[in-house]
Amino acid sequence: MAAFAVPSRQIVSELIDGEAVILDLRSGCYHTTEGVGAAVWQAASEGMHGNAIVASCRARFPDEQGIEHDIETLLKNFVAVGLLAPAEGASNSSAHVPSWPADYQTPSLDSYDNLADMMALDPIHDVDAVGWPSPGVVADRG
Amino acid sequence: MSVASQTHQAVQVIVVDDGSTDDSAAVARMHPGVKLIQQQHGGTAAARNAGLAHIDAEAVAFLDADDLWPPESLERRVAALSRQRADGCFGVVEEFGDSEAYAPSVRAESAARLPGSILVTREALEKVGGFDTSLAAGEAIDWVLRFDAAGLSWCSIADVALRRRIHADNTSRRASARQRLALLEVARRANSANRGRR
Repeated sequence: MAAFAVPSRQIVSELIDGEAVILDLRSGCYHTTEGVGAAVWQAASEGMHGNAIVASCRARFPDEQGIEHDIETLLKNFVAVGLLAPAEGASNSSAHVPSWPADYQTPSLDSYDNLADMMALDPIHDVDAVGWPSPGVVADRG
Repeated sequence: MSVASQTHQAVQVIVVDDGSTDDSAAVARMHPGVKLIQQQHGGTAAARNAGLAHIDAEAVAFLDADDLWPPESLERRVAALSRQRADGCFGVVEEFGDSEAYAPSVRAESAARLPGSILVTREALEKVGGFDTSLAAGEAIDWVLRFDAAGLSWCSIADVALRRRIHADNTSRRASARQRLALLEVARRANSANRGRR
């Protein structure tokens, strides 16, 4: 597994009561994951290496089988929907220790597009003197 | 003023001047029958709420000062709303720029529920309530979410209902971090609504 990074500052997230809500302003979609999934998101988005995340989870839940598969699958899902991208370099040592829940449940990622028609029409425009969007970067709004 | 050019004439036109420094208020006063409300920098949500407090028409549409309605926008939305017996109607939003450097958005035309592209019944407005003034952005999205949560119905038209101007003075532009966090709050509320429906 690799280390990861959030590929765009148009992706914002918050972690409340063990649930992560992640909004991708590029697509207007929002995604949620809770429990183990929220902890994985927290760690991966801060640059912790996938192997380090697995090791941390195994230390927390030593009797659970399939942790590596579950976390690898979740990380692949984050990448598939554009929330994370593989990053070069070592694990970020300053990343917070994941806040694992009391009990282990197979993590999942839920995605919603019911706000996409409104969110994706760019209610926020970062405009420079040239205007929005800048010439030549129409498709890249990260 | 594209409102005055509509093929379907509005029975009531309310202009809310939220502390503008150009001649918007003077222009509004020039049009007979326009009710002008002036307030000092209350923000978009407060401005819309101030206008809503004076509504006595059967259906309501919104238009920001820098956007335009095609001439048949209101007529087509009114007709669809009546024909479909829906609580709200929305049309296509076309974005255009007033800068030579502007390149069309990859999503320059899409049907969307933005304030300038919707028409909703007053009954629906009374059920949903006003716009949330605590949100730095996304107050209209939050409003639509509450509309949906109230079990109200939408219909749509395939025509352009709103021509949305993109330029540096667009009121949607503010400090990026604060607005992004506000939109995240809207997404969080949407997620809570999803959980409530499970």
